[in-house]
Amino acid sequence: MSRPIDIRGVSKDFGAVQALDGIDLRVAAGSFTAVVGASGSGKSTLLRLIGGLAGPTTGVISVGERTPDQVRAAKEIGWMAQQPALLPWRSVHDNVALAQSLNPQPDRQVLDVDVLLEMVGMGEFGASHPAALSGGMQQRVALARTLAIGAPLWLMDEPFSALDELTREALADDLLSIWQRFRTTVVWVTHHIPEAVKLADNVVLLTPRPGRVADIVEVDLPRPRDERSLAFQDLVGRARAILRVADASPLGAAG
Amino acid sequence: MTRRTVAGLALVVVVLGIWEVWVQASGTPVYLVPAPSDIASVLGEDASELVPAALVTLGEAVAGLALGGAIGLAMAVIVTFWGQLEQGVMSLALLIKSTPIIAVAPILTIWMGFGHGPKVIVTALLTFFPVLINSVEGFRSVDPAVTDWFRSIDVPSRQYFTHARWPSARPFLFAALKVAAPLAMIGAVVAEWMGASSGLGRLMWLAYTNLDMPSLFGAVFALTLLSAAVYRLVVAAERRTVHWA
Repeated sequence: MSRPIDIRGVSKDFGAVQALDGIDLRVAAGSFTAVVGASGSGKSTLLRLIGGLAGPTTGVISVGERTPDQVRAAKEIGWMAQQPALLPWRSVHDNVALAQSLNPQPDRQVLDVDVLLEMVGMGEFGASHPAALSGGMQQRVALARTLAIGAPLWLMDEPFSALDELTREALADDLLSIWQRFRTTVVWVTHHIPEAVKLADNVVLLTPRPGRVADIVEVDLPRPRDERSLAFQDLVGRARAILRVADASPLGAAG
Repeated sequence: MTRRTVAGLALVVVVLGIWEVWVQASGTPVYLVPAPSDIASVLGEDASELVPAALVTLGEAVAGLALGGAIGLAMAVIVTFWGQLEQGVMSLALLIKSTPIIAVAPILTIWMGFGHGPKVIVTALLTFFPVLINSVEGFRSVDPAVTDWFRSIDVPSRQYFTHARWPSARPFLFAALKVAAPLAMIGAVVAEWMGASSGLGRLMWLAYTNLDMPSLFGAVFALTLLSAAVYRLVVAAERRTVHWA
């Protein structure tokens, strides 16, 4: 069951470096939220805080009524990063199956591994090992693994950014149709504004060093979205302009 | 046979050829440097003695390697699970590693006699360290992105060890074995020199005290061949078990 995410006054320091400062954000249950910012804006850090992989220096994050650590312990996070992070000694099938065997969730309905692989277009490659696959295929397997435990919260850190443009578009389309089926809460980190506008309900724009919420652009276009449409281009232009101003402002440029 | 194997064998033949010609031409006496042909005839004549001796040394080396490897691995697991013990465990390991084997071996022989025990212990002392160091490195070599994924689903550290640390460490373990296996052969032979009732080291020592250079070289050759075979075995096992690296 999808849950909302509440982020209140969250800051994160790494020694003398302030990565995030005073983040206030609410992500609606079952929504698709993209977090966009330049390198060093702390967007990946924000995702790690939501996932409980790191703790905030100040502020509070809650997912539903629980802390990120509790959500993690309940195996409710589907984590996907820029690197596929597959286990090279396991076959494609066994990589996905491992997620399920490590996380037996009797009260949660999970899909069969073969069904999952079919869903991400990797049905024929169950017996292959990751080294035999292209980067795009490996990310498809990583996506199947993310879906494998039926987690209601997907945290995705630029999962397609290392791929070529065509593969990236195809994967984004597939991801979107899969998400529309499950309606999980998604937080998607990217530095690619058109991708964010194409996928998300809301695009959160972060200032660079330290990351603050510069603005949130609501995308109320029906899916699938036409990237050439005026409305789409207008939203991309708006987001870009906000980021430019944030980048140039004394606050954004500081540090 | 591959071209590489042929080239390797050709190099050995050339070196032996130069050695033979040099010994024959210079008239070097056999008690100083025997010619390869002398060594070959000794290898043929003494085979009934060399083969059982080689098997004894091999057995001691394998037992010592197994013991040393198990100790090294166990210490690495302790360091991995209980980081606060790292400094203590590593200091102890370094202390043992720095003790000269040449001093320890006779003491062990005095304590334990001429049997296999001291040889196994000396071999274990020589081999545990590379296994320990490589295992610790290997257990820590898990891709950070993989660690993030395991953490995101809150996998207990025991399962993380089984599914991420242990497989990640396997290439490192084989790197350690490639160093430790030939070292184990040397360890067993050195311990046998210090007093033994059997083994290649004893044959070497007997040949040395009798100034029987062809027999001494023959035993050294047998040891070299055995070490090379053990090394090949480790490489073959690595290819089978670490197919992804």
